[in-house]
Formats: sequence, C-alpha cells, structure tokens
Amino acid sequence: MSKPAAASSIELVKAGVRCARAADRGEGILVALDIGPLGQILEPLGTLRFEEAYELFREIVIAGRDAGADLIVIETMSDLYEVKAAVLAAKENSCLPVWTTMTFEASGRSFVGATVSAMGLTLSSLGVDALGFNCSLGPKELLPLVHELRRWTDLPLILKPNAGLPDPATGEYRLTPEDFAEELLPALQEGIAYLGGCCGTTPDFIRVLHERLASPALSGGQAAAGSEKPPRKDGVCSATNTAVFDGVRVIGERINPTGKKRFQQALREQDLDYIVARGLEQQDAGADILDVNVGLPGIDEPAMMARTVKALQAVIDLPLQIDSSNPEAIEAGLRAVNGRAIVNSVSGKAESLETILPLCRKYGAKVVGLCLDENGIPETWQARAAIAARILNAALKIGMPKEDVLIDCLTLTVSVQQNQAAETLKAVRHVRETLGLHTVLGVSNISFGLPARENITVSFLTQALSAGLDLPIVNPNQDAVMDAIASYRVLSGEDRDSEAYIHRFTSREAVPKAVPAAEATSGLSLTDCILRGLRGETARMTEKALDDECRQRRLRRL
Amino acid sequence: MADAKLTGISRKETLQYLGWLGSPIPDELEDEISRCESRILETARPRAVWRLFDLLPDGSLAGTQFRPDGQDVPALLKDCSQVILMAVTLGSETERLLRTAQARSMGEAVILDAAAGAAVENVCDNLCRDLEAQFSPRFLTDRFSPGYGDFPFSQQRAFFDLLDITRRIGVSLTDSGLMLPQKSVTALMGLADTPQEHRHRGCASCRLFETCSFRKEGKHCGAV
Repeated sequence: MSKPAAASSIELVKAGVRCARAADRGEGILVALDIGPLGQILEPLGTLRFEEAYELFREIVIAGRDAGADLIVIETMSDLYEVKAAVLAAKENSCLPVWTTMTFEASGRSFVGATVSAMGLTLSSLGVDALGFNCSLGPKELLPLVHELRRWTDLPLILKPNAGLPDPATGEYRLTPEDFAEELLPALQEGIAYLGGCCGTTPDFIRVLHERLASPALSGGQAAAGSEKPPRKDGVCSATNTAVFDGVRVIGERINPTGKKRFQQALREQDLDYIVARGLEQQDAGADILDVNVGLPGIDEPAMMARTVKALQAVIDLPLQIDSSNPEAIEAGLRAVNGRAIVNSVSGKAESLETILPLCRKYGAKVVGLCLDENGIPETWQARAAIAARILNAALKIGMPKEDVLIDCLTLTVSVQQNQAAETLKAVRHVRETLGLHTVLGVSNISFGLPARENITVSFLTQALSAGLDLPIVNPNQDAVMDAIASYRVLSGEDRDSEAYIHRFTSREAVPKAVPAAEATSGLSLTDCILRGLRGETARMTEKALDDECRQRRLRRL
Repeated sequence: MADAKLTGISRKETLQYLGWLGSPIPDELEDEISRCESRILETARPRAVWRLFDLLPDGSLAGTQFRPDGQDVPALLKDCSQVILMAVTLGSETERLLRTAQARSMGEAVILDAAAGAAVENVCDNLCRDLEAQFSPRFLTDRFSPGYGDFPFSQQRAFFDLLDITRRIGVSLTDSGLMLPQKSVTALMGLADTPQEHRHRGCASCRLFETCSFRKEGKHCGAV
C-alpha cells in the first residue's frame, strides 16, 4: 500500500479548523489556529533566517484566517526570536487576537536561554493579547514562573501545564485530573485569565478543572487576587538579558562611525567582526545597553543595520539602542532585534514625530525624544521641557505608554555655549521630577575642545546623575567615566553595601602592570610567536615578512 | 527529563580532542586549558532524557517502527531483552559560550570546544552509571551512537521522535543531521542478565595514552 501524499499546510489548517468546528454542539466554542515551532532552528544558533521563518508563519496565518479561525495561538516555543516572527506574521496578515505561550525549564529560562522577563517585556510590547506558559513542566513547577511573569506585564496570563513530569521508564505522566486541578488553583492568585492542559492531560483533566473553577468557594479568592498585584517592572532586553530601568543604566556609544576613520572603513568593507569587537569591548567595560549607529553616506543603511543587529546579538546579550535618522534603517533594525529595543531618536519636529513614533509603537520600542524642533535647540530649560512635553503627548496620542518615552535634554559643548550646561541640568531635573520620565544624555559632547576633557565630562556626568539622569550615553572604555558611575551607584544606594564598587577597585589593584610586549618577545622567530600564541606579535611579524618578500621580488624584477 | 550531572572534565579527553600526540605542554597553555575547562564546568547546564523499550526478536523496539540497521547494534544487543535510548546535551548556554569565544579568540575557542566535548562524555558516563545502579542486578552494554560502526547516522531521527528530544531537552536535528546545540549525544544501550563486555572508549581511557607509539604517529592500535 503506497503512502498518501503529504498534505499542504494550507489543507491541514483548513481541515483542522473544520474538525474543531464540527465538535461544537451549540456551545459556541472558539477555534484557534495553533502555531507551534517550525522544527528548524533560527539564526544564530541554526541556519533558518528570521525573514524565512516569517514567510513560513505568514503562509500558516493566512490559511487559518481564511479557514475562519477565531484567534491565533502560538505555543510550545523555546526561541523568543521564532515567537517574534510568528507574532509579526499574525499581526501583519490578520486582525485576529494573538496569544503566545512559551516553554520554560524550572530554572526560569527556555532551552534557548530566554528569560521570563525578556519574554514578558518583548511580547507585551509587540502587542499580543495574552501570554504565558505551556508544556515543559507540571502546574507546581510553573507557578514561580507565573509569579515572575506577572511582574513584567499587565496583560492576561495563560497557563497550560503538563500533567506533571513523565516517568522515564514508562513515558507516562504522573498527575491525576484531581491533582492537576488542585495544583493549578494557586495560579489564580496571579490573575491567570486562561487555563488549560498540555502533554499528559485528557478531556477529563479539563472537565475536572472546569468544575473546580466553577465552584462558588473560589470566587472570593479571585477577588482578592487583583488587589495583591506586585509592582510592575520595566526595561529593555535581549532574549537572554534584561536591563531593568530601576537605576543608572549605561548606554555604550562606541558603535558609531562619526569621526572614526577605522570604523567607517569597517562599514564600507562590511567588516562585521570589527563592529562586534567594539561591542564586546563595551560589554566587558560594563555597558548595560549598546547604541548601534551605522549611518554613513554611500552604504545601504537599512541592510547594514539589520546585519549589524544580527551579528551583535549572536554574540552579545546586551539590549540594543537603534540609532538612526532614517526610518527605513530604524524599521530594519527593530525587525531584526531579538528582544525589546530603544530607538534613538525622535525630535519635536512634526515630520519626525509622524514617521518615527508609529514604528516605535508597532515594534514596542522605547523612544528617545530630543528636545529640539524646527527652530533648533532652545536655549532655556523651560523651552526644552516644553518640547519634551510635546513629544510625550504625541506618543500618548498614538497609544504608546508614558514609560516608553525617554527624554534627551541635549548636551552642548561648554566651551562654545558655557551657560547651556546649567540649562541642560535644570531641564533634566524638571523632566525627571515633574514630567516623571526617564532621561537619556550623551555626556561626552560637553567637553569638546577643552584640554583634560575627562575632568569636565566626569563632573558634568555626576551633576546630571544627581539631577535625575538615569540612562547616560558614554564611552564605557573610559575608566574615569565608569568609575564616576560606580561611585554614584554607591551614593544613590543602588549598589547595595558597595559590593560592586569594592569588587571593581580591588580587582583593579590585583592586576599587575602587563609586561610591555616588545621586551618579552625580542629575538623570537615567527614560528616561536605562533607556537606561543602571541597574536599581536605574530600579526606584526607576518606583515613585516610579507613586506620584505614584496621588496625582494621587486628588486629581483629590476 | 532525567537528572543530568556534569562532575568533571577528563584532561586526557580534552587533550585527545585537541589532537595532542604526546608533545610537552608549556605551562601557559596548561593554565589556559584549565581555565577553559572551568568555564565549561560553570556554564554547562546538562540535560538528559531516556526511555526503556522491550527488544523484539527481529531487533526492533517494541511499540515503535524503529529497528537499528547494520550488524554492529544487533551484535552489541545479542544478550539483551531490553534497550535504553538516551540523549544528553550540555545546553544552549555552552553553545553560546563557544560562539562568543570564536568572536574573541579562536585559540581559546578551540580549547573550549575540546573541553566541552570531554564534558558531554562525562555527563553520558554519569547517566550510564546511574542507570546501571537503577537497573541493578542487570547489566548495561556499552553505549553506541548513530554514526558508530555500521549504525547509520540517518537513524538519529528515530531517537528524536521516540524520546521527544526537542521538547524535553531542547535539542534539534537539522536536515543535514547536525544536532543543535552541537555538544549533544544520542545513544542506545542494551540491558542484559549477564555481564557485558566493555570496549575501550577511545584513546583517553587507555593506560598507554601518554606513551603510546601509535599515538605519537597520529595512529591508533585498533582496539578503539
């Protein structure tokens, strides 16, 4: 007997929806299009490109939409990037509600390393209608994760555990329907809106659960749950690392071609290794977020932005700040990001507000608003604050939450406009205390043109932090700057018991001054350098040997 | 999912994966290898999954469509009435560590890779020891992976289906047969009522590892 030909995804989806509808005995059930993992691993761990995954999900979404599904459920996902592709496909190709649940381990991470906070922040900001967990574990094991997720989103939560953990010898799941329902009840305290069962559960499990939930004894407990909501946390993230906005978070500024010949060359040559190395350096130096600017005349900025974002996030787990004035480049970056990003920037100019804010809203990015408009940079703090308020209102009007607007009060070079330093500081204080917004500030600019720049930069930075700056954009490779931030974190109480400060400075003392390379390697041959793993010296000697060889050849030709 | 444990990394195995043939090792390199082994021990989050199947007379696993091809597996399982399928991984954290190392220093990346290879063998060894204790007084055979001997690599897919590996421990199989994360192992072992012969598991477990004249020429004796 020959095997039947494999049905297309479209036929399978249509048949599935039809079968589910046929089971409705007049109770008015909703039928969901169920989208699971594609079975291929996405970049960077695997080879499936994000864009290809999007196309595959798009095909499924359109089939489900056309077959009359009532909503879309994306489930059993371990890779946040894959979820994003599916969510975008769902929202861009249908108007159906979108629910997403991911699979986690008891450790609080998915198999691919996604954290609960990253999941909560990213999926809420992408605009799903409900989110939560399915599969992976039993109800008891998932409860702590639900508790954690509640801190990161106000959206309705979903919980579909397995019937406990399977017995390896038999493959059978351990919980009875009654045990399962019993273990799930505490989840109601967290404000779970949707409950169900995954592997090992049967219709009996759902029936028993339904009966327990309908019991009058429960409604009192549910009412109490709403009043006990833990305070919600906020921030930006990669898939595996969250920068919580509850203290000073350093944004590294070095991925930027302005005034950097070598960086510009790297952009023209598409030398991603060089750019990634700059990112790694900043991560090692203590940056919490990386600004990414690849704007250079003559290159394809949107394509380069997407490529750079992907290259960075393959190796560095810091959240990213997409820095561009080109809306296409911003969108390319926001699409490629795995996690939740910041867009740098929007300004008070009408065109900027109209083109850039909607992108931030769509992709759930936070946005940096610059206090300038068509008339340039105002010279008083009041006028800058007024622009800040305008940017905030424009963002609120299109449905962005207030906390997603970050304000940059602008740093002017003190040697050119000396009185502006004080205006910036006053503006920062006002924006923070009166408007209640987070503030961003690039501080390096303050000292341009003066000798011993570091002194001015550090003094200005410290004053700005004291005025309420919490997202400084700096060069993390400057020890003096990072030292000042480390000190501030002690004085503000953020660095409990000065632990990080002490560690920073005691480990610095412990490292002896490195022996200058030249002393250690004089007299070594190229072979010796290779065998000893002296990278810098090997490179130098190789280049010299090649130069010598070229010279010899030229001489022989003469 | 079973309890997977990483309890240490055999220096000999790390060296074998590095292709070491017995030359003297400089102190700095020895230190770097130690550092890399520590990084793997800190970073790895091993996971494992296993299932027990009855073995049918025709060599297939009861209740499945899976029958290991070739002669080597049937020979291994000749005294066995049951077979255990297992899968082990160090996890995506280690995969990320290896990838990041490639961006920083290829030399370090090579050593980390070798140490990770030794680490996953340690996790497998621990699992086998636990299973031996659990099924005592019965005896386990050596473990045997798809790709060894004439056990076709293509039958790896059966492990993924029968153990639900992707959902249980987060390892995936690409179309070309590569497991991701790469530091992952699938294997089968037989359960018998009589003690089973254990063969050498590679050069690292041989007492002549450091002095073997075959190794010095890049060869081996054929007992592996």
